[in-house]
Amino acid sequence: MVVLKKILLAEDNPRDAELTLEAFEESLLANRVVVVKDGVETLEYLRCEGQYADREPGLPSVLLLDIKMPRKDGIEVLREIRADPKLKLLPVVMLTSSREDKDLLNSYYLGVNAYVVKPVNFSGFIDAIKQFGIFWGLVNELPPDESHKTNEI
Amino acid sequence: MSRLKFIQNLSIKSKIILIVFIVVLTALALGFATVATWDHNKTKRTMESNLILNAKLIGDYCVVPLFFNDREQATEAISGLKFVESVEEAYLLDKEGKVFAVYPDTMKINSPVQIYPESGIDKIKGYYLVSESVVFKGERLGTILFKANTRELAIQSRKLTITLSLLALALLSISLILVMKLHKFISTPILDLANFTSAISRSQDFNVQLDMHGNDEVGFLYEQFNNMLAQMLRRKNERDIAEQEIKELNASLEKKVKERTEMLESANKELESFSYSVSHDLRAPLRHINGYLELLTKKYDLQLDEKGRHYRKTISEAATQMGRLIDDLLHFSRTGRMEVKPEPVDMSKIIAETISILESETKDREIEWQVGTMVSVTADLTMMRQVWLNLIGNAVKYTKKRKPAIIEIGCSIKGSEVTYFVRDNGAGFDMNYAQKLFGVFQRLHSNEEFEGTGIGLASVSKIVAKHNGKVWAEGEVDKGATFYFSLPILKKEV
Repeated sequence: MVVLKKILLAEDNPRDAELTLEAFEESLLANRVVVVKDGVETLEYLRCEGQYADREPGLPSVLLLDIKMPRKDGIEVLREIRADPKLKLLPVVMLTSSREDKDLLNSYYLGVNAYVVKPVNFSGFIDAIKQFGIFWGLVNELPPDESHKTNEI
Repeated sequence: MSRLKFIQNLSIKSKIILIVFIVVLTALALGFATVATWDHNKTKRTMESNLILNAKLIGDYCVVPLFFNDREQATEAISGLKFVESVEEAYLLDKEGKVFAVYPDTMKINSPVQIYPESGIDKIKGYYLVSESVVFKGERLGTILFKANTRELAIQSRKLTITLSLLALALLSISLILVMKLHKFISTPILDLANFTSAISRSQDFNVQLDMHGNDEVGFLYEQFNNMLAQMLRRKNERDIAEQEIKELNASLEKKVKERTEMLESANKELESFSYSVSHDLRAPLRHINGYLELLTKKYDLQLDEKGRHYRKTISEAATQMGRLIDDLLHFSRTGRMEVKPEPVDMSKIIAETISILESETKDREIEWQVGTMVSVTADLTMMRQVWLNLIGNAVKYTKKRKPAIIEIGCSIKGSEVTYFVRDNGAGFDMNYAQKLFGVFQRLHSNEEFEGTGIGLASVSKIVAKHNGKVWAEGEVDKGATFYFSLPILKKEV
């Protein structure tokens, strides 16, 4: 049986994190979600550094990235991921309350895979997360694991 | 006139020489002509009196031969005239007037006698004719006549003319040499002034003065010119100072503008980051409230009694209202920062689209739409959509108690302006508060009566102002309201 990969959620606000987990609960995906609290922690998780040095190796199936976070914001994290040969192919989805043109443009410019604005209305949010979980957790084909390859594409 | 013009164009030096030449020549000519005339007359008088004297002398010699009727002696007597060079012929007549003797003796005795004057001297055809009586003791014995040429007179005249001409030439030459040397006293200061003036006009340097040349008219001119230069220098200095002041003023103005622009830019940035935080930070707690309320409803609704459910419902409504306020406020602030992107806008099309957008609100209503022919303009399409959505949306909202509701949309052109209006027969408003209509969060109706945030008309006002137009409204409580906005028409659209 295929081992389902984790979903990494970068969210500094515990309420947002809880609500998002509740939404994943609806789709029975909550047990696969790992929550990190800021940009620095996100990169540590992905690179298996710091407190995540001993975690099981392997990248998540998708990174759900909030933009406004302490220490390192989502845009910076995205830039570093795209610049890192080991992380550059990781699917990244912005999950944010900002609809600002500036954030949208920056994210797409840096190669984000999707940009989702959190709906104010919770049932809308649950729907969004449900569809999101199905798409990124089950439907979407991930890039082949590059850890076995020496050459980059 | 053309000759005078030619003189005007001569240099001062040439003018002075020409004037002196003309004056000296005229003076010499007049003077010499007078001298020549006077001399000629004098010579003529001398010659005439000499001829008369000779006639008298010869006449005296002829007294005796006439008395004794001795022709031979008479001929000899008048032959004495040979010493008078000019005499060409002479006759001695007896008292009857017959020719008694002639000179020269080669002439025949009976040669015809020319018409001589009775007595005295006369000048005819270049000859003097002299007639003198021969008288002895009061008795007239005969007449002596002779003809003398005036060659000597002509020779004298010619000599004089040549002499005077040579003299005139010499004097004229001396005058010209002198004037060539002396004209400088007049022309040099004037030429100096001319050169000086052109040098100044080239260099624009007024900080110079002419050296004085004396106290004559030119000296006076120099003095006046120096005064003028001093005045020009003073004015130039004043102007330079003023220019410098203007430059400094401009520089400080530019600096101020730059500072203000920087301040404005930073204020704008602050505003942007403000609205950014509003959108992020204000919305997040609202989302949380909604989220947890939903969870509460979903998981614990059965444990709430009716009052509890009422509280939950009220919290939910308040949060929704808050969400709408935040969204509207954000939208309003974004509208304020948006730049107008002008393009041709088909107003009829936008109005039709707007009415169909509002269909969800109007489908259960009885509304009579009266849409006139609309003039299209150059404007920002998105902004125009927003204007019509707000105005028509308002008309729909405030006529909700009318059956039927009548909503009239139209426009009129006046000068270079087109005025659009939306008229309804709805709740209307008190004209005393008309100016409050377009303010942010200003409302004339309670939220319970008519829902709204008080942003719509403020946005309309801001958009129309960005298009250099005007908004205004007319209304009466319970009768209806008309909202107008005018936009300038570009010339090519007329």
